[in-house]
Amino acid sequence: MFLYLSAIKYNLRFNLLPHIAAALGLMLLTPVLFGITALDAMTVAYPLELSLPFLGVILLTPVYTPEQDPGISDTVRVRKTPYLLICGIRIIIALVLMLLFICGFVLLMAALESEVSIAHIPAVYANAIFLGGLGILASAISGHAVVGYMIPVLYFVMDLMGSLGTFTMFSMMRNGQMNGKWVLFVIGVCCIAASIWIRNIATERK
Amino acid sequence: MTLYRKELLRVLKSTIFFLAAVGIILFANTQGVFPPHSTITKPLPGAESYGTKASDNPDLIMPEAAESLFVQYSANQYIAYPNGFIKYVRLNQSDREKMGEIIAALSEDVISEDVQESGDIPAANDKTLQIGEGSLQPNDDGSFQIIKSEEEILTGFHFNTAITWEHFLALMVQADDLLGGGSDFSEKWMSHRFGQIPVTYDEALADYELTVSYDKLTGAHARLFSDYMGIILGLLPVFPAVFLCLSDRKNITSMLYTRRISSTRFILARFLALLTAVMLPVLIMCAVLTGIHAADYGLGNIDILVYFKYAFFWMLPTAMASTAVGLFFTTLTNTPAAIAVQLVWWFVDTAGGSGVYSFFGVRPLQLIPRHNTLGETQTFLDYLPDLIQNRIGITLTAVLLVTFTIFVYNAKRRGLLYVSVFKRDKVQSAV
Amino acid sequence: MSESNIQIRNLSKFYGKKQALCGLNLDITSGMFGLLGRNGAGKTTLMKTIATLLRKQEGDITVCGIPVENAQEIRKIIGYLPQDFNMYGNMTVSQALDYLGVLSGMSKAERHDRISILLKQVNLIKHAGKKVRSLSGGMKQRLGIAQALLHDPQVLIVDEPTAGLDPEERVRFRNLLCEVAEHKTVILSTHIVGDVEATCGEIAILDEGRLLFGGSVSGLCDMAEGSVYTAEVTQNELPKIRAAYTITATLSQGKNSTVRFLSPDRKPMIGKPVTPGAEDAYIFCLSKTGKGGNLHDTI
Repeated sequence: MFLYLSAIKYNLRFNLLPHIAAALGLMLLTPVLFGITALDAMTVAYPLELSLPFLGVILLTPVYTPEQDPGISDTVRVRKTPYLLICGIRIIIALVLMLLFICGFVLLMAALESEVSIAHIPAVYANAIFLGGLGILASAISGHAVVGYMIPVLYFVMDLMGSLGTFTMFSMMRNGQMNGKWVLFVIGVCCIAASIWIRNIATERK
Repeated sequence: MTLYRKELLRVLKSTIFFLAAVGIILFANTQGVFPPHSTITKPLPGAESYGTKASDNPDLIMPEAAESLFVQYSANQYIAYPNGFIKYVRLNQSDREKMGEIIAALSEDVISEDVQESGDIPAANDKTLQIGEGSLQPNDDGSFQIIKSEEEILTGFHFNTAITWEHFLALMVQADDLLGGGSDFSEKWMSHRFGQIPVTYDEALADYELTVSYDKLTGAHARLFSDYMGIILGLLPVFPAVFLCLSDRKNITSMLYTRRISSTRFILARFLALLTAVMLPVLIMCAVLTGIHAADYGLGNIDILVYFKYAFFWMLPTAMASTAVGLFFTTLTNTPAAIAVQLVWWFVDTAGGSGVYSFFGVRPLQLIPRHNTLGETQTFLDYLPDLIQNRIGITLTAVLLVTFTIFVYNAKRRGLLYVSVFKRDKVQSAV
Repeated sequence: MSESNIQIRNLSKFYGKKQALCGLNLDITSGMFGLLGRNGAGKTTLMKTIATLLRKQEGDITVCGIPVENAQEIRKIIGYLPQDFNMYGNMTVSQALDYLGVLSGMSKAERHDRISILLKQVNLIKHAGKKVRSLSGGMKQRLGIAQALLHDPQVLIVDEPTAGLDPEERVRFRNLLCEVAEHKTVILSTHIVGDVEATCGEIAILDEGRLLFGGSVSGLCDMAEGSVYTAEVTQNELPKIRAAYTITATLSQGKNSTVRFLSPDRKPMIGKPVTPGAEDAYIFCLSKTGKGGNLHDTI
């Protein structure tokens, strides 16, 4: 158990810290771009759906990048602790941080008299997991973080400029609905799981 | 030239270019511009509607705008778009009173505090709006209700028709300032928000004839195409740029740095190669669309080069800017931070895609000019000088960023620039 | 059967259609074992397969009696220094070792003790606080060997550890490996014959995935006995000699050169026979495949 805590500590400090800083930057930028004070039930959706989903991209997409260098990859993979377990730890850290940031932001909006509710938290979380899931899957398939960043951004733009029906991330903004978020959540989780599987095939034992 | 060709081949063979090209074409397809979903047809007399247009008719704008201001004042909740994103504004006590005075100036039969103090107050009726103590009762949340009597709450507002347009504009400027700018009451928004009037058949016909004579039909399509392509070209090119720069790992850069080629030639070759690559799918679509329009309208009726003109003058500067951001920030930081930078710029420019700025007009350093309708040739001609300035400005911005990239690259080559975000090494043992 | 024993039977490994290892049979006992071969011979593939980083297609490998399919158990008893060893650049030397120790399932006390010992052993104690990315090539390799020994494995696999090191570093590295090999099995993969000659009791030579030779260094030299000659030639004659024979060494001395060359038919035009060295014997062995040439062709 303590070994896993040590592994968590090292990964937080050396592999995840810049991305956590970027996530915090996003949180600070969001109120600057949008107003988050005294928003009504419809307009709260704007910052929640346009900005916070990128937490998933920032925190999930780079999970596999520390071992992009083959020298590091070989050194780490030959250890007793399975490499995928380390990736799993990073993913869990990312998911926990995403939830904490989203909860914190929604609470802040509530404190600023915006009409948010507890229900917004899972809705926004689903969006973030979905977008982050696309990113981590693209990163695992291509082996490049940049591709992992591009795919979710492309999806975001296409959804924003048109609408992708059941798979839209902007149901709250467009028609005040949260119903379809569970679909995005499931797809996001499947993408994360698929990325682990692909990473296993690609690198563990060829 | 050889280096440019080699870099171009590198980009074209990369996975990220393939994905970017697919993304560009897919985006155009989903937005209905590739292939085009509508054609330009001559308006027929007696149609139900020919669309609307913004007018500067004071008689139309003033009462609508004043009424809207009153409604927002009553609730003490105003809508503004300071960065293009919707923002709700609530005024504090002192600003509320100032806004109240503006409302008073816009309203008929207002009894000011001075008159109240004098005691010479006419009987309250449903045209009366009293400012100060009395019938204007604030709620706990700061909004106001007009209390006519214990049973009735007055929410009506009667515009003071005696007010002049100049006085009205001055009052609206004050109101907009109180709200932090970007509100419905700024001069640029008012005609668009409150001055919409139907387009007449004659006007529609005149615009159609202008589209035929000036645009040769394809010009209008090319403009709409450029509108949508600008959105994607304002963002996607940053990714191949970041990818290409990051693919030079540490052991590769030290080999590159010692080569004879100047930093200027190296960076320019890379920049031009990236630009060529991202414009390639756009140019291919331009060619295909020209063919489609030739089939629809007849070859003799169209301008076969117009798509390429728009590609060069409208779309290329946007692609240059996003590519340059990718090159500069990646060369400087050796991280994918450029993606975040460009995303923020794109976001602010498109107002989060909300279309708030999608009415016609071009801001000076607007990354993505918008013209989100087919036709409206006269409107285009009206803002064309702004557009030319804007495109030159964006091009210069891109050139500046590329110049900075060359400086940074050259400094790194000479070991003059070492960017470290980590603490200095300390001799310490963890044991 | 020795505890430190690696048995390889009919091992085959494919990369797509390309066969990297072809029906390999090998026994590796404790001590220092050298693996020689050209680039692309299959050395790294073999090392990685034993280290459980690659999956074999055919054959069997057991390490200390444990089949290689049991990756978790194998990883407890092997240490691996990869060819392009690297670690996270933002970690210090001691942090990198500590992290890898965590991944090796070592307790805090174990890590503390072992890191201290190893840093002294590899002479990195003064650099414990340095970031990995600021280490020189030699220091990085020493860090590499330290991490491979961290959990005191029974088998140590080192893939071309001396490539890029200066002569002094190389000697230091060899000595370190010899020290380690006194109590363990060390598989040293290299294409530098000198490394193997100086340190290994038993060696194997691979070429295109096949075993060309397995045995001792002296056995390898015996193979080439009577086939190695030396002659002094002028600069003008040198090209003719090069064209006619496989040259293993050339020493220029003014207008003349002393060459060592192979003559498998033992009937050279010139020269006198000499006792083959390991390098001569290695090239002789490779030349028997028909693809040998001069010394430079093997690099």
